[in-house]
Amino acid sequence: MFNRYTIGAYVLASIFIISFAGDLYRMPIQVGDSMEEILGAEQTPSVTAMFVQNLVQVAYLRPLRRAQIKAVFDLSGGRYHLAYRGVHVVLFAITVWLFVRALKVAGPLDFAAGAFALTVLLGSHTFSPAMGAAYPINHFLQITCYALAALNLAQARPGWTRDLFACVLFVAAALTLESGLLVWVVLAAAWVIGFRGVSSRGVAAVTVLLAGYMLLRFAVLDVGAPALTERASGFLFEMLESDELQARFGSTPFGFYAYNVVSSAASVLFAEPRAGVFVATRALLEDTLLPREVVPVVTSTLTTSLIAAAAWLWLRRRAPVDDNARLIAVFAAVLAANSVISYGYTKSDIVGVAGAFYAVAAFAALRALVAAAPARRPAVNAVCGLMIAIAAAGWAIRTAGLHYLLVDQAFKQRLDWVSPPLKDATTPARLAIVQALRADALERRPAIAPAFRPGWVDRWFESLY
Amino acid sequence: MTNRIPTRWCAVVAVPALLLAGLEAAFLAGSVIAPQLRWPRYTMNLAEAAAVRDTAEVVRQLEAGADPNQRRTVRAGLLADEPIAVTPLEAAVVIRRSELVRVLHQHGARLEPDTWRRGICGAEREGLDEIAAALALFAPPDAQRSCTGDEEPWPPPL
Repeated sequence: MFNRYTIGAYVLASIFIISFAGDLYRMPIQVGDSMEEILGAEQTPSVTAMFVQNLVQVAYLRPLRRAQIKAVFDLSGGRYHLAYRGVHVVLFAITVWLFVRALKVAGPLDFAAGAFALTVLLGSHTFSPAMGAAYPINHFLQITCYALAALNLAQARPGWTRDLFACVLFVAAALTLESGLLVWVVLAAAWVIGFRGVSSRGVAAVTVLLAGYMLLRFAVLDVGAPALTERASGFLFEMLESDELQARFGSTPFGFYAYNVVSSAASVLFAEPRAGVFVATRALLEDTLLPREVVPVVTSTLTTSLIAAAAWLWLRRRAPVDDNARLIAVFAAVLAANSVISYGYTKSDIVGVAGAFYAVAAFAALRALVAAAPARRPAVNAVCGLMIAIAAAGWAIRTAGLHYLLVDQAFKQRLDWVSPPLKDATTPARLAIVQALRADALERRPAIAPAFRPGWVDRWFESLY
Repeated sequence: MTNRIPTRWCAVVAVPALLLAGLEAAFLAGSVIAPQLRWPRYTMNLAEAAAVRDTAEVVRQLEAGADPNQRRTVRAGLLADEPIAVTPLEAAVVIRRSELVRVLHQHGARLEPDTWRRGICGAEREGLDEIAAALALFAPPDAQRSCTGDEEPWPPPL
């Protein structure tokens, strides 16, 4: 039921959407991880052919990922920037809209907690790669969008259409990226904790689809899982290249996998480490600590404390399970699963889904803690209020920093178009695509050089890790 | 009482986000009238683009036909405290960006034999190996690269 608070939450979200969508659209398509895929789309005769071609890849089962890039390519009519950047903007808008919808804002406290949660979502370092990485289609953002759609389905009134949609959602997500399996985690955790929008039959059907996915991946197609040497990864204070990883952990990879799982969870909860590297700690030890390292760690740690406090209060009282407790429980499940999925290597992109559910949990925690404030001692309330005030200010700073990040990315991505690699531009048609993309980036997307930014923004706001 | 306390709490929780949204809305509204407000467009000449390391803008201007050897005024604060007239190549060497030096060479920037000798000797003297390697591309056909150590520096100190 819509009331003025619900409308207020959507208005607030719309302001942020429009504001960031402008930056998002102005960014050129990036060269790395994009050129090959766009040229591959030109080369492949149809979306179906692209799907089939990508059904069997070493270590990955992601046929829908490139099929979607091909579909957008075919629909673009040669206007690649409009098509691909447009998809990014639409995905972003839907994600934020689904996020607000999942909060079910109905009163002043919901509105206040929702405003806070919006900044947690948008300001998080786990969300910034979904915005700043201008792949042809940002599939990490897409999976976050699917996971939030799954939560919305679980919260809805039960019905067979929800069950059907949940199945479609799972298939689409699972065949796009491995982290798409988190859609099942959301649906299953939500069902266990009492959200019954997707019925028992629906959850059972999605579970059968999950089993089918595993069978297809490991028994039929024998795709396997990524190896240790797949790519570089962070460890303690440095990034290790794949050969260094092999040398250090080749014989005992489980320790490294455990490190990745724990550091992925810690990254969501404390904003440290980043992609496995303890960036803020390293800066502290080297005496080069800047506000851009301090603010994320402080805000995330405070917010995690608030979520933990809300969960602890609920467990201590043994109160009936309400929506606040449900949302926190779903977050805990998603965090655990998302961290486990990151065992091979850890990156902020991969824990994007857990990051979005962290914002949902922050909303629930604030709502629970503030609602219980009248029953608490004044001293406890003062501490709690101070923590919330610092966290809220910190998240607003981090959200403002998303503009900086997008402007910074736009400059870097434009630079890459100066001399794009031409090894895949083997035909006149493909060369024409590269030239069109390059002309678009250089001529029509002016970027702001770092020298024109005020010095303080580099100290306060983060670039993309 | 129980109603009043949550209202105060709501303010604590929401005010930073609402302030930010208010600023965003104001900028959005302002940018309808003046797009520059939100996305300022800094018009730069070729030397300024080189001075701020904007290789993309340098290449864009060169491909649009800008003269790579023309001396242009770089506004105050980018290379020096005062406005200063330099060539794009001088700007690139001053900020020690070898990739810019190479880009300018590819697009027709040239050096007089004496200037080249002073530049490369100066770079070697200061241990700027990458700049020296990039400047080597500018070697005139009959260049004499004999550094005496007392060459007048090029570019001159700003």
